[in-house]
Amino acid sequence: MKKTPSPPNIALFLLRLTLPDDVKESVIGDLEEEMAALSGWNSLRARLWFLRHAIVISGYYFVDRRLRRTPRRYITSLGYEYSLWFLLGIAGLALLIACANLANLMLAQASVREREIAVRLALGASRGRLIRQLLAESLMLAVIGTVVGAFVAQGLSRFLVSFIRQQGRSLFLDLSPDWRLLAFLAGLAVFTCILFGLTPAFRATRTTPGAVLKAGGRGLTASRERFGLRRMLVVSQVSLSLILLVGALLFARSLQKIMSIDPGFKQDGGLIVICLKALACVMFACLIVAAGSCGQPPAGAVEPALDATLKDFKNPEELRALFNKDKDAPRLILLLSPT
Amino acid sequence: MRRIEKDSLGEFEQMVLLAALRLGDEAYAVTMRREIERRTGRSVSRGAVYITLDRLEKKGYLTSYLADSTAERGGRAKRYYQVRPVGEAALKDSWSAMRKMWEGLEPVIRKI
Repeated sequence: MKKTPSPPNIALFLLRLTLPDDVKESVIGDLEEEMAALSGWNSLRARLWFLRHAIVISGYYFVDRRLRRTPRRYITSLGYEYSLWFLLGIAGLALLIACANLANLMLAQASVREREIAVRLALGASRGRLIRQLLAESLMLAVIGTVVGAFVAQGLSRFLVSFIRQQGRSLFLDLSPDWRLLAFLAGLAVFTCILFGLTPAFRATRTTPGAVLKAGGRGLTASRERFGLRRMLVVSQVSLSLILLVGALLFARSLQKIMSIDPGFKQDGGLIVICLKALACVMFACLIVAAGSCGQPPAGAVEPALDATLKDFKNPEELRALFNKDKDAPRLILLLSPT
Repeated sequence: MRRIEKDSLGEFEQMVLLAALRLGDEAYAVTMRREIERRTGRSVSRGAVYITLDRLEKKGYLTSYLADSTAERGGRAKRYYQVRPVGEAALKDSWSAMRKMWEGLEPVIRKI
């Protein structure tokens, strides 16, 4: 027997990508076996045969998995899900910037109050006591900020949603506060307070009171290294803001572009038809063209059209009647055929 | 038996199960597809056979094992299928349902 051609890598890649793990190798093996049995074919033709069947098989698995795992009503919300994750990421970044800002301000505050702290240390206050005081102050700040923020967020999110809402299409989002969100906010406030409140507190109490009192009159030039952390915070804050700003600008541009594009069909309402036979697909396409050319929009209620497509293609007249039944029916019709 | 009624076998599922029964120890995707094509005269898509085998195995009608990794398969094992008793019961159920529906209709069909 002559040397058998090796299967094309792209076909192997496709099969490995779409097939479930347990059948991957046996399906590839089956195809290889059948390819080897194609006597009298040249290598290229056999490899093309392999590729064609790999595409069909992975198409079957792809469609099967989609139909089985995704309930139909969730398919449309898939797009939203990803953008919501993205929004969560942006919110996280904004929060980080706010925290860095707050920490910076607290560090500045601590360096302003250095003298006061030094005096209290000199008078005999213990270090722990001073840290407790500073920590209490930052906790107070965090709690007030969280409470005010929660209220402002309520009002603002309502405003934002009403901003997105278009005429004739209302958008319902559940904006009532729930305990998970509040717990998350409270936890975040405490965490931020401890993380960014402790550092200034430790810094303020670490220096010896004598040095601070002496240096007090000489300006700030001597304590250059003390601002290392502050400078780092400013740098990270600016860079994070820059990322957000550039991202926001890019998004604004693409939003503007998307809004001004004319796709040439009515965007709301689409119908995807998966025809199992290529011939049925062609007939369906002809039907759409015919319906479109006689001045009627190619329209049809989704469910009846689908049924007719998949079950009965002997009666195009009936299908056409279905097509013109509904004025609000899909305008974009995608035809897919696995064979 | 009652359990299967609410989850009855489709036509193609029946064909795949019957092919597995016919082929016995030689039943794997390639031979099963050939068997169905040879007996029914219809062309059968490989993809349809594979996803049906998967589905039947998940439902518990079939069981599979790997063996025979020959050189012409690139050293990859074959996945052999066997009909489990539940699958045989389901087949029997479908057959008896069909037979009951056919009962007495043969002359009518022949007239057309």
